[in-house]
Formats: sequence, structure tokens, C-alpha cells
Amino acid sequence: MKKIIYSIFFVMTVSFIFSACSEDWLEVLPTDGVSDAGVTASTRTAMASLNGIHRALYVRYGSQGRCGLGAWFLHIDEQGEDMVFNYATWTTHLRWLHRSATSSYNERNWLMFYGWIANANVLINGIDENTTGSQDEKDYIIGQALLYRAYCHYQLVQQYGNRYVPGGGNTQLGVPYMTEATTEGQPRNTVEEVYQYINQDIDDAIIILEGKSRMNKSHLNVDVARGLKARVALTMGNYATAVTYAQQARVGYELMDSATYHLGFYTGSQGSGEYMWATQIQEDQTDKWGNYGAYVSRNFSSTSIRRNPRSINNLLYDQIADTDVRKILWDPTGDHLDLEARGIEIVASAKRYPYTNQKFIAVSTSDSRVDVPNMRVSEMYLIEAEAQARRQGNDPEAAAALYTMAVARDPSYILSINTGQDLIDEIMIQRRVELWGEGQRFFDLKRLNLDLDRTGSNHRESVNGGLMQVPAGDTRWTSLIPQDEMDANPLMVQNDL
Amino acid sequence: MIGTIEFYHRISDNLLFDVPLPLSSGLSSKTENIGALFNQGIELGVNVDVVKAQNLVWNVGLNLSTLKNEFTRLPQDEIISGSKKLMVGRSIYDYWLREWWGVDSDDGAALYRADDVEASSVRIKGNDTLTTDINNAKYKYSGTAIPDIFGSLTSSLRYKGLELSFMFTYQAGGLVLDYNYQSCMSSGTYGTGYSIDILNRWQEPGDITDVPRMDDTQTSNFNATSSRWLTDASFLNLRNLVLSYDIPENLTRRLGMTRARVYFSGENLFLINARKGMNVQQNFSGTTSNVYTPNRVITVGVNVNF
Repeated sequence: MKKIIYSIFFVMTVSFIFSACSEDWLEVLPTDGVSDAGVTASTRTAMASLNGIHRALYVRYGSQGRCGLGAWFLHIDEQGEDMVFNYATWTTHLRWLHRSATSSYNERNWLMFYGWIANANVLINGIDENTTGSQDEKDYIIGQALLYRAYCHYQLVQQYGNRYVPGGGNTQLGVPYMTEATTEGQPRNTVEEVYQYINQDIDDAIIILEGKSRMNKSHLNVDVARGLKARVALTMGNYATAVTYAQQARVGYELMDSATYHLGFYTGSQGSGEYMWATQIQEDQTDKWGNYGAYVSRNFSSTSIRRNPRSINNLLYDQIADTDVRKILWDPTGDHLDLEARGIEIVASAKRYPYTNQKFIAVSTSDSRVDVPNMRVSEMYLIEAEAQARRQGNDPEAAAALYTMAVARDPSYILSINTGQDLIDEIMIQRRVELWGEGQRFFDLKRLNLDLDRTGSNHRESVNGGLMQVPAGDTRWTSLIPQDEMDANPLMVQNDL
Repeated sequence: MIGTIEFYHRISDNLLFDVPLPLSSGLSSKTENIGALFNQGIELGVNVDVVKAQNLVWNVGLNLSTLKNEFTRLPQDEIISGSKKLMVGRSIYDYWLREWWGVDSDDGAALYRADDVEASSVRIKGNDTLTTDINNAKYKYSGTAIPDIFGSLTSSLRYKGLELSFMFTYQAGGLVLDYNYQSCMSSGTYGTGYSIDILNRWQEPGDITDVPRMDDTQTSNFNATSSRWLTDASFLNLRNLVLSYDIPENLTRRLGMTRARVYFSGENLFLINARKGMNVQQNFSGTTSNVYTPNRVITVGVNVNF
């Protein structure tokens, strides 16, 4: 640190001595930033910028409750029915207040994704033959930037556009698909167009990332690209595509065995075959109170977790088989005695409520780090199973895909003999249990055009502001465009109020 | 009597400003030299020796200022920033807010002037087309934070050893956007403090009030930022008052002292304004937040020199 300070003084002194009053000497570039051209001068600088995006996935966006992608996953789950609050803190998304045009959550989430997109665009459009470095390195960077661009727009269009209707024209307005870093306001593309662009970016990324190894699971590779392609295809109702890509994406990964799964999700993603893409929070760059694990883990001692440990919907919990390892990941008594037996402390002042999760375990009561599970291999099996089941006549294939995943969780699981809607229902239950807290449920409800129904469960009106039911198709399923965007972009059109 | 009258017209050009950008650019604002504005006004200062006799001196001073602030050039037609909208011919402190109408006496819902009159949330009251949905509430210029006049009044009266001096500060006109009051009127969270005005909430059909029903599910609509929270910012504040008495010399000398003075001094002894507890002097921009309000300080003391 001292060295850095000395060199800053040195640089400042030298620049002072050599600066004259001529205009040529005026430094017009800011000293705390770097120009777009500077970013893409070499693959080394471009890689630093890409690492900046990986890092940006877990910084704070204006408030403690908005710490990047992990917070976003929680927001998306909170908007559904499977994640239950026990106390009314950080309830914006739980109560669907986020959709208001002036909600800071609405505004910041929108800005967060578009910020990552703008950074990705600088790389995508700036890296060319003038950039020094090998083509391999350039592809590695551009491929990931394309994936980020696709991923971010995919999140945005699901929240801000009316649902993608499989087989429909989808001419309803989506979001502007930004392909350039510009400060000029852009008009909204239709939902169909947005999905076209998303697929195009993923396809391009698959081509140039093929065969490239990555440095760390916080980076994106061709498997993540295929996994994302499968996810998107499921949303679009392109079930054949979803099956193909889900199968390809999972090659080389391995479902966690039940002994490992039983320990919960913590910081071990790098060495686990289960994780396809995870954000690993660096110990010296952690946001103690803002991290994903500062809200969703059971053992970290934060105001949020002490007062409002997250529970699973008891109706969903009841559907988990007793022999299933996941039965242990939520404790119907809320006492978590087995955690204590394993030496994992929950502070005494932390409130106990039924059905709280121990799926996520932070490093300790004072270190909230948990690897953020951005994509896991079990989801690929679930996508394959669901997509097969929704295609006519593919029930056996669906049951087989489900079996692989389900038996890894429950040794007593037997191949499903369900067919048709019963099979679909079974798969969806598995999906909800498996992906709890990972940012899927609300989007699942929306893509399938299902009602939100929290009635009859452990959801309490006094906590969620009385938001117990929202019928499918209600205008509230789509967030309003942030007012700041409306004010500054004359081409922007607001959603139905 | 001495006095000054000054007229000023100050032009500021090439103002540095954060210009909002479409958030979809990935940035929320950029700094630009965006334009020009002027500040203009009158400053009046009068100091009168009302009485100037051997044993009695009374001096009164009055300060009065006006301020007009207006943009003369901007790089774009309008810049909306927080609770203000900047336009040429308008001031930097002109409120741009959703227009509050009142409370529906039938069901206690908060009503705002509707923007989209076709929307499903629309209600008609008399000739007014209103909405219960804050997102459909119409924005409108709603007055300014800048007062008509502001200044201070001082007085100093001395009779033999007795001295009384005080200073009032005041402002007339201007509006404050009272976010603190807004949060004290929200029914969104359990276990928080309320303003006593919540007692006036709508409770049954027919109630005529300006406080909506307490409805936990509707806070984002009923308690939203709008012109409802604009409050007259006029005030009169007794900023300080000092009463002192110099004990006569013949008495102090006998006690072996060269000088002795007893005094009482008070700061912020009273503040008259539209709402108890409101502090309108927090911000030029007229908004309030959770900061310390000026303390009332009372000091009683004796000053002795040997």
C-alpha cells in the first residue's frame, strides 16, 4: 500500500514538473477511468474488464439488499410462492412492490443488468485485429461477453416484457436489446426480437467457446452457453431444442451425491461436479451484509437472517419424500439441531421458525460467503425431463431424465410411472424443491401462465402485505419500466399500468 | 438609522450538472456543462437605533431578501431529477410531482389526478378523472422550494446593567416536501412511529378526511410521493435570546470582584411553522430527511472576573 502511495506521489510530481500551460498538455481523459479503446487495446486489458463483470456480479447496487445476481435470484424467488418470509424485512419483491415505476429496486435491477450489458458491448465491439493478443484469448473474452449480453437481456425480458407465448407472434414489447455501448435512448424491441437476439448471441458464443477451457467456474464456458440455450428454449416452448442442449450442456458434470448434498450449499463450487457456473465471492472482496449468503443462509448472523430466516412453503415441503436428502434441507421444527451436531453455530438471538432452510450454509456466523449457484447440472436434468414431458409421446424419456436426478437425491426413488399431466406435475414439484432460492420460481410461473397462489400455506398476510394470490395474465406480472428510463429516453414506451 | 438596499442579478454559465441518461445505456447520468441560469433578488438591511440615551439603548435590525432563480439555457428540453424538473424559464427548485387529489370518502382510497384516463383504476369525482394507482398519477409542476421572502430580525435593548437581545429568523412562502412526515404516515410496516395525524384516517364510508384508510396492502399507492406531502415552508424561529444583568460595580467591588454578570441564554426557544417537528431549513431543495433538528439549548450562568 505504501509503495502505491509513493508511486502516486511520484507520478503526480513528475506530471506537475512536465506539464506546461499549453492545451496539448491538458489531460482530457478522467484519471479514475479508462477509455473504451484503452479497454480493448490488448487481451490483457480486455480480460481485466471481463473480470470486472464477473466481479460486478456480487457488488452492491445502491442498497444492502441489492448485491448483484445473488440478490436478484432471491428477488425472483420471493415473487413466487415457494420462498416464505417469517418477518417483514426487505419485503419489496415479496409484496410485488418492485414493479412500481419509481421503486428503487425496479430501477436498480434494470440499471444493473444494462450496466453489465454496456460493459460486455465494449468488449464485443471493441476487440478486433488491432487488439494485441492471440485469437484464442480474444474468443475466450468475446464469447463470455456475448453470453453476459444474452443472459442479462433474458433476465430483463422476463421481468419487463409480457410472457413469451410459445407459438405466438410475441409482438408485445420486450426491452431494448442493446448491441452497442451508447448513451442514446433506444426503443423497445418486441419480445420475439429479444429472444431472437438472445439465441443469436448464445449461438455465436457456442461457436467461439467450443473446446476452450476456463480458469475458474466463475467464468463462462461452452457448457454454460448450452445450459443457457436450454433454459431459453424451455421459456420459448422449444422443447426439442431444450432437450438437445440440456443433454449436451451437462456432459462432464456430475450430480452431487446425497452425502454431499446433505451438507448444504456452501463455498465448495469449484471442486464440485454439480456446479456449472458459480460466483465465488473472494474473501477480501466480500460484502458482509449484502452477500447472497447474508440473506439466504441459515447460520450467518445478520439482522435479516436472525429475524427473517427464509422458509420453504410448507405445502411444497410436505411433498418431499421422507427418504429424500432434501427433506433435511429444511427443518419443520426450525431448531436445526443437526446443524449444531455438525458444529455449525446459529447464534442464540436468531429467531426460530418452522420450515427454515439449511440448504445454504455460510462460512460462519460472521462470514456470509456462500457460492452463488448460477447454474447447476441438476437443472439440466430437470429441463430435459420437463421438455420431454411437454412433448407429446415422450413420457418414458422424461421419466428417465427425471430418474437420474431424483435417485441421486433419494436412493429409494423409483422410476416414475406417471404419464401426461401427472408426470409434468411430478417434474415441477422436483424442480421447485431442487431449485429453491436459485432465482427460477417466478419465471416458471410466468412462462407457464400459472396463477400465483400462496393461500393455505405458511405465508402470512401480515408479512407479505396481503399479497396471497395473483391470477395468471394480470398486468402485475410485468414490471413497469423505471421512471428514470421513461424520463430520459423519449423512445421508451411504458407497460400497462 | 443606517440601511442598505441591494439589487443583484448574477448569471452563472457553463454549469456543471449531472445529466440523467437512459438507464438502458448502463449509466444513470453523465456530468456536463449543461447551461446557464441567473439568480436575482433584492437584499434589504435596516438598522435603527430606536432609543439612544445615557442609560437606555435600543437597537433594532431587519434583514430581508428575495431570490428568483431561473434557467436560461439547457441542453435538452427538460431534465427530471428527483422531485424537480428543470426547464428553461423554470427554477432549479421547482417541484415536479404526481398530483394528489384527496381521499375517496366512499372507501378511503387515495386519489390522484389520472394520466391515462382509460385505465381500469380510474374513478370519476365530479369533473375530475382520478386514479388510485400511483403509476397512473399525473405529474405536474407543483410549486417551488424557494420562499417569497426570508431574512432575520434582531433587537438589542440595554437599560443600565440589564441587557436583552434576540434574533428571529423567518421565511414566508415556499414549499417543503416533507419526506419525514410521509414516512410517519405510512402504514406499510408494523411497529413504527406515527404522526398524530394518522388519527384522522378514513374509517368508514362518508368520512371526509385527507388521510387515506390504513391499508397495509396499498402503501405503495396510498403513501406514495406526490404533491400531498408539500407543506407551506413559512416559519418564524426565535433563533437566540440573551438576557443578562451586570451586577453594579459598588456591589462587586465589595466582594472582591472586578466584574460580575448573570445571564440567561436560549437558542431555538420557539419555532412556528405549519407542522410541529418539521424543520424546513434542512435543504435548499426543500426536502427533509432523518437528520438532527436544531436543538433547543438553554444556558443559565454567572460570569465573574477577579
